[in-house]
Amino acid sequence: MSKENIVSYIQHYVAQLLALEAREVQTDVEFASYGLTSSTAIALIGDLEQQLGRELSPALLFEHPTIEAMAEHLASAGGA
Amino acid sequence: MSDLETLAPESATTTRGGVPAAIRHHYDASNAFYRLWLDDSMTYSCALWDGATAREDLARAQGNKLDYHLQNVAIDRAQRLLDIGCGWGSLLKRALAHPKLESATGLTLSDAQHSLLANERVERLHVRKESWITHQPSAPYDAIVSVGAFEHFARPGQSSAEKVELYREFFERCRSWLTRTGRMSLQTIAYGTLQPHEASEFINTHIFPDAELPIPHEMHLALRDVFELVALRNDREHYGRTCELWFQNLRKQRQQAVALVGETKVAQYEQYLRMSSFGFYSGKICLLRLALAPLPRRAATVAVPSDWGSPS
Repeated sequence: MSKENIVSYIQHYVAQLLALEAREVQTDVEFASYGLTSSTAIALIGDLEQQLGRELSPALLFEHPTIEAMAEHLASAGGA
Repeated sequence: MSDLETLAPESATTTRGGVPAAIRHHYDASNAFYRLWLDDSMTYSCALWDGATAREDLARAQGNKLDYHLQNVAIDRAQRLLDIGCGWGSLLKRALAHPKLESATGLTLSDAQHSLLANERVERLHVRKESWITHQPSAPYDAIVSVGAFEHFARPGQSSAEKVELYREFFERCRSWLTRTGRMSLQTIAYGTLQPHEASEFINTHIFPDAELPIPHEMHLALRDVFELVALRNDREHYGRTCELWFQNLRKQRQQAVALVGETKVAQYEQYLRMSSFGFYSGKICLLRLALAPLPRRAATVAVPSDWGSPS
């Protein structure tokens, strides 16, 4: 998946969780400020794993705390 | 509905300070199941990474953690050790490598842990199926360790004042069992940014029923005038990592795990380990390690002769 596709995927995901329009979800804002609960966060990680076909760490949400940073990391080769 | 509601009710005197049915619900799932995803020492609590330990090396990080607690209680000079909530005995066994240690006593409320340890018949190791509420030592200890048990002492719905009172009772008992120069080391999960009312219903129902985490200030209040807080670490990221490695181990052994405990339970544990990992990484929950030294009991008020105090 390209970085743009990953950005869009996560944007839509978070939008659906929070009942927002995807364009209202800013990509340079920390995940924490969207108030993800532990279960919604790991659901996102689980769905991203299925999309990308590889195992991901829940720590990613802290090591790359915005949609932009996360997508950048995931799109780069070998980012797990 | 809680899984526990199907179990026989227990009286208040046997549930204070840890509900046996709740302990059995979690820890008696199957020793073989836990063996699949814990490290070889079967240590089921947060590990400790120092600079020299690789991120993937769970066994070494668990050893570091055990050594950390044993150092906190000055195990080199200890003769009698008590481990409250001893699990499958990894800390007791590690402690017994110190030749001066005459006895290592473990308390657990889990049938599975108790019978496994009792059947191993390790010399100098004594395991008792009882709670700290009912424990009556035959002689004082000079070292007390408790790792991952404190989370089970209070119950959901208890007020903060009730929790503090219970924790204080725990610390007072521990102090009364320690020699004057004895030491205690404690490890527990505690609330971080998560509010008690926001806690996951899934975890509270299916994984750890009838358990309530401490809030750090409740522990401080309970310790006051009983133990000096010598050192305090919050190693929440270490627990995030530990849960992640457990999850990966479980994933690798998934088929065997399903054969042992069924698909539903395996899926629940996968969910719980990942949620916990996220909870620690995000700071919703934290992992406290405390080194404690007993404070002298306040002497009873001494009657001061009436001619004292005023300069003659």
